[in-house]
Amino acid sequence: MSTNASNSTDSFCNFEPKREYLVPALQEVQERDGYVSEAAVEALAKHFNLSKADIYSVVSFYAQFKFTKPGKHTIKVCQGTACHVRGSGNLLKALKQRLGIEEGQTTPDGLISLEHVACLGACALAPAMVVDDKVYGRLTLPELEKILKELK
Amino acid sequence: MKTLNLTIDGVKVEAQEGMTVLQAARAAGLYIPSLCAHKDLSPYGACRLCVVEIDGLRGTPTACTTPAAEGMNVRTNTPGLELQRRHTLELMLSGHPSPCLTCDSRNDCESVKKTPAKAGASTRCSLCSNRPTCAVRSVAIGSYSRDIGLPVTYSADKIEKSDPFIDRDHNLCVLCSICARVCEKLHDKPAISITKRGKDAKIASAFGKDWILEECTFCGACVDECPTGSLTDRWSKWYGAPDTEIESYCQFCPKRCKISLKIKDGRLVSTGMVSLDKESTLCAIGRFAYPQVFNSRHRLTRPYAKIGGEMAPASWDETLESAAKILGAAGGGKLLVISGENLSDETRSGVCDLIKGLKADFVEMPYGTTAADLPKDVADKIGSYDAVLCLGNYLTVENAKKAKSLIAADFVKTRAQKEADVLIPFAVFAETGGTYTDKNGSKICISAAVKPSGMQRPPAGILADLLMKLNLPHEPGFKPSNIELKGDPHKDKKALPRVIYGSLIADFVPDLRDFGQEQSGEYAPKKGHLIGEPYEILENTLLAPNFHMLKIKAPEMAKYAKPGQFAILMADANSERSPFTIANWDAKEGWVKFVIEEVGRSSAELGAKKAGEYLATVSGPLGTPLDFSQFDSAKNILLLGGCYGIAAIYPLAREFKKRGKRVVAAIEASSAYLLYYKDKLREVSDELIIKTRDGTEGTRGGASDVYGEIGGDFDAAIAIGCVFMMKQNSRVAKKTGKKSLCALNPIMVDGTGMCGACRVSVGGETKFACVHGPFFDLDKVDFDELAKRRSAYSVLEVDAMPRHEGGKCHQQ
Repeated sequence: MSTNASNSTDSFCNFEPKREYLVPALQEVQERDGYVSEAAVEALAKHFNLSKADIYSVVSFYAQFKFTKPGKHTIKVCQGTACHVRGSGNLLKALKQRLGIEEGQTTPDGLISLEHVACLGACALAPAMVVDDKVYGRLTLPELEKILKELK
Repeated sequence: MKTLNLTIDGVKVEAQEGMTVLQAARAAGLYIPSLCAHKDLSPYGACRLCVVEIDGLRGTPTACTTPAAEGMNVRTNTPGLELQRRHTLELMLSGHPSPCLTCDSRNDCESVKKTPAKAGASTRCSLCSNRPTCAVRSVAIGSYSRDIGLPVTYSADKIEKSDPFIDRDHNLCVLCSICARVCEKLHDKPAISITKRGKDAKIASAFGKDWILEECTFCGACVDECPTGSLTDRWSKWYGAPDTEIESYCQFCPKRCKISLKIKDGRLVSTGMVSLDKESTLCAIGRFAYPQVFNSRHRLTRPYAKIGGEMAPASWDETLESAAKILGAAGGGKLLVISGENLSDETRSGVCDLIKGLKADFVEMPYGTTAADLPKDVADKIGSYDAVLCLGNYLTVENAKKAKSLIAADFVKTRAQKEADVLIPFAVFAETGGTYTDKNGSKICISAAVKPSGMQRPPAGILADLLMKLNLPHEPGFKPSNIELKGDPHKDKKALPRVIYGSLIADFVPDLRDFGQEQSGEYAPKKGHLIGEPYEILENTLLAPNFHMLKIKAPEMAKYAKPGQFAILMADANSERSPFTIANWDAKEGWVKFVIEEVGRSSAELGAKKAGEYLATVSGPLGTPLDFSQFDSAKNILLLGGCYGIAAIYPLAREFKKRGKRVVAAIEASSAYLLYYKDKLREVSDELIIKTRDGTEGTRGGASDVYGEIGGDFDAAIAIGCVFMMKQNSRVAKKTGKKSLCALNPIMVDGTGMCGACRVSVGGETKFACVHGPFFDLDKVDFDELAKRRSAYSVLEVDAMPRHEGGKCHQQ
C-alpha cells in the first residue's frame, strides 16, 4: 500500500478528467491510502481541473470518505437494535474512555481507530464488534480489555 | 422569440420563451417568495420557497426551475402552499437567530432602535448588520412561524472571524449557495462551496480552513450577494445600506479597474463591483482596502505652515503663500522635487511645469516604491538644496531632516512631516477627479464623488495655484510614461498593490498583514499611560452570546458598593468611559462583577479582555444607591429585567429578600439562548418568571406582559433593561398607579455630574442620571428623548468600531 498521497503518477490519472469520474477516483484514493488526504484533494483538483473547495464539497458529502489516516486496527462497534438492547452503548463508552478518543478518531499513536456501524448482521452474537476483519460476539467488559491488550 | 400566455393566480400573464415561471411572475409584477433565485445566476432550486401548483403537473414544483409554457395555469398562494412554505422556513431558520421575526413588539421596538446595535454576534435582527436589506426578513415576516416547534440550534460557535475583511456567521446562513455560485461564475473554480451535509452543511473552503489560506482572492462578491447577514464586510457593515452608488475607477494600481463607490449621507462607506461579471471582478484592495484607506484616521485633513518659526494650522492662502515663497527663493537648481508616478496626468503635468519653470531637479518615484527606495545619490544630495518639495511619502525621517526647507504634501500624516515648513493635505481617490493614462495609452477620466472630509484639495489645483503665485507658465503637451504593473492582483494575493503614494497600504488596513503585507510601524499605537494600580480581571465568562460576566479585583469598590450603584469602566487607557451596573460584589474577597452586553466598541473591548489582563479604569461605586426605606411598607416587590438588566436586578432582589419582602423576578430575552442568571435569580427570589419573545422558553412575550397581568398584586415594581423594554413597562406603570422605578443608562462621561451628557427628562424636570439616578420614576421618564440622546453619536460609533486589530477583538 502506498502512503504517498501526492504521488504524481497517481492511479486516478487513469480516469478521464471529467466530473462524473470524481467519485470513482476518490474511492480509489481511499482504497489506496485508507483516507482522503489534503494532498490527494490537491492532486485531484489538478487532474480534474476543479477547485479544492469543489472536491472537498463532494468528499465531505459522503459518509464513506474519511479525512484522517485510519489506525493500524479499526474497531467497529455494532449499534444495531439487538446490540443496543444488550448494552453496546456501554461497550462504546468503555472503548472511548479506554482509548481516550471519540468515534471517528484514531489514537495518537496511530494504533486504533474507533467507529460505530448501524448493524453487523450478527444479532445473535449481540453485543458485537469487529476488529479489522474479526467479529467478536457476546462481549463483556473484561473480554474487551483482553482484546485491546492483544492489539499491537 | 415566442410569446407565451400563462395564468398566474387568475391573472393573464405574458412571458417570453425560455423564462421560468418565477421570471414570468416577476416580469408581470407578481410576487412569489424566493431566497436562492438570483437574476445573474442560473436556476438552482435550493430554498423551496417558490413552490407553486400548476395544473397538470404533479406535486408542488419550484417556480424558479420550471420553464414557463403555453397555457399554464399557476397558483402561488393556496393554503396548502402557504403551510408548506411556513414549514420550509421553519426548518431553514431553526438555527437562525429569528426571534424578531415572530415578535409581537417588533415594530414598536424597531421604532426605538432605528439602526441595529453593533454587537459581536447577531443574535436577532436588531443586532444584525443586514437588517436594512435582509432578504430572509422580508420573506419571513408574516409567514414564519414556530408551528413544528423545532429546537433552537443557535450556537456562538458558528461565528468565524479569523479571516481578513470577512465575518462569517453560519447561524444566519440559509444555504442558498448564492455565494458559491457567484464565486464559480466569477472565478470559474469556486473557492468556497457547500460542504458536509444535513445539519452540518455549511459554506466553507476546502477542509474548512481560513479562506486566506485557500483559493479565495477576497474579491468580496460573495459578501455583496449574500441575501442574509451570514457573510459581511467587517469594516463597512454597520454603516447600513448606501443611498448612492457612483461608477468610478480604482486608483490604487495602474490597472484602474471600474469600481462602484457606495456612498451614504455623503460619505464613502464601501466599494464594490460595477456589475456581476468576470470582467468587473475586483481585488481585495479595490473591494476592501479602498474605503479603509480613504477613511483612515491618519488622513491629513488640513494645511499647516510655519508662522513665526512654529508649525501651526493655517489657511490655504497662508499655506500656499508660504510654499510659493520657499519655492521662489529656491529657483535655479536649488530646488529638489520628488513625486510619484501614480498621480493624475494633470498633477504630473503641473509638477513638470514647476520643475521647468524653477529649473529644479526632479525625481519621479516609480509605482509601488516608498521612502526607502529613494535613490541613494538623491538622498545624499538633499542637504545641498535650498528647498525640497515632496508630493507623497517619499522621505524617511532621516532624509527629511537633511532638507534645509521642506514642503511636504501628502494624503496622510507621516513622521517625516514633523520636519516640514509647509504641510499640504491632498484630496485623493473619490474626493478628486483627474485624467489617468492606462497602460495602452488610453485616457480614463475620473470625477470626484464625495466631498473631502476636511480641508484637503486636489493636488492638481494646488499646483496650479502655486504656478500662478510664482508666475510660471503652463505648458501643454505633457506625455505621461507608461506605468508597469507586475502580476495580476485579481488572481494572485501576493501581487496585490502594497503602496499608495509612498505609504504602505497595510498601515491603514491591518488585515492586509494576513496577505503577507508589512506595516511600517509609522502608526503603531502608543501605549496609554496608566495612573495608579490597574484593575485585574479575575474571570471573564460568556453567559450568553454577547453577554460577558467580568469579575474584577477592586477591593475599595467592593467595600463601599451598594445595590443599584454602577461604575465607569475603561478597557484601555484611551478607551471610552462607559457605565455598567455593579451586578455583584464581595467586600471580603475584594472583587466586583459586571455583566457587559456587547453593543459597540467599548463593550467589545471590555468583552475581549481575558482573565489575568487589566482594565485601565474601574471607577465607582457611582450613582445614588437604591433607597430601600421607601419600600418599608411594601410587602411584595416585582422586579423586571431584560438583557443586561437581568443581572442588574440581581443585587436588588437579594437586598429585598434580606429585608423580608416577597420578591418575584420576571426576566425577558428574545430567545432561550439569550437567557442567563436564572439559577442565581431563583436563589434570591420567591418566584422567577421567564418570558421569551419567541416562546422558546417560559411563555411568549416580554416582562411588560407579566407586569400588565400581575402588577396589580404588587406594592412596587422596578424595571431595568433596554430603553424599549423600560418604555414598554412605563406604559403599564402609568396604568397601575403604584410605585414604579427604572434604572437609566444614558451616555455618560465622568459619572459625577460634571459633563451633563447623561441628562434625562423625568416628569418635565431635567436630571443627571449619574448623580440623581440611576433610579427614577418609571412612569415619568421621557423614554423617546432618552432613545434619541442615546443615538446621537451613532455614525461616530460606527467609525469607532474596533478595527485597529482587524476588528478581531470581538467575543471569544
